Amino acid sequence: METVLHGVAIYVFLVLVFRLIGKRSLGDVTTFDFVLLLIIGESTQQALLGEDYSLTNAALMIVTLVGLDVGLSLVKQRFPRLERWLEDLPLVLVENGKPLRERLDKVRVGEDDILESARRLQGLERMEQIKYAVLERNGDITIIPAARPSGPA
Amino acid sequence: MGSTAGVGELEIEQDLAFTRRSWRIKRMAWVAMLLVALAGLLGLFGTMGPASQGRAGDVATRGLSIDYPRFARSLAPATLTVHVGPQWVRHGEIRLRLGRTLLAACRIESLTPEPEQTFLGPDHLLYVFPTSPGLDPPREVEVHLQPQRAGFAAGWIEVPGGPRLRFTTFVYP
Repeated sequence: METVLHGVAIYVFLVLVFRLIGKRSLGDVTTFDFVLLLIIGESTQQALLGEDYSLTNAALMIVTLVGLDVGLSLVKQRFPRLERWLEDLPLVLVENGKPLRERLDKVRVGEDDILESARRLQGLERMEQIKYAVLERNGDITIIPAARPSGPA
Repeated sequence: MGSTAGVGELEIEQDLAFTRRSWRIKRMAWVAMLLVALAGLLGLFGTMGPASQGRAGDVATRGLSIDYPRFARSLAPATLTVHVGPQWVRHGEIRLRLGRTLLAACRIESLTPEPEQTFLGPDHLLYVFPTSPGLDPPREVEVHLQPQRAGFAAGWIEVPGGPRLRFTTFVYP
């Protein structure tokens, strides 16, 4: 019985913690995030199995966790209004070349993060070339480039 | 500037009201996490720290006292330290009774020092520790426990013919 309870408790706890610490901590694979993920993985391992190393315990735990995952996706399907609480909503960070200061500060994204995405995704060089920069639900920053002015420069 | 339908020409589901509310909630969550970390440092979640150590009894007046953990964690080591006064050393040995209620929740891993004999009583275990003659040594017996499940664990320790000290530990899962 403890296995199932532990599995549910840790799953819910982790979902809650990751949901609350903000998207950027997951979307960006810097050294810090890597270390964080590594240590979190190690920390939960012991708590999940305790002193019971049997096959039954492991299988039960896996079934519980997978069941929770499926259950959660069914809940999301059934109650679409819940999806924004579970998955968050996108947020526009740059509009027509102008970075929206307050939002950038609140989500702890810097202009250099936006420019990096602009370079990587669109090959853009400057902030003015960005029409929209959006912080997506999973922490990625997507870029819509500004339309090129047509005609002789 | 933004509504659920879109932003300018961008067809996107953005909801500023919702996003601002979630920022507020996240801020409160960070404060809560900080408080949890502080509570852990203070020993409210067990093992070490000022809040986690409790003491019952008094060696000076009653000849028996115990240092016990107010908070412990399931499957993590916990130690009970019993201090015995000189008046309870009889015939070169110390006898301690440990109530069996503790065993319902905890496993006794070891005792320091190891008792010479262990007797099974109706509701307790009786340990006999021989002592060496001479000047007053610190008469401490450590009981190393491992709580097996979460919840309240209650127990008692007494010297035959002497005071009985009760204690309660809350075991976190």
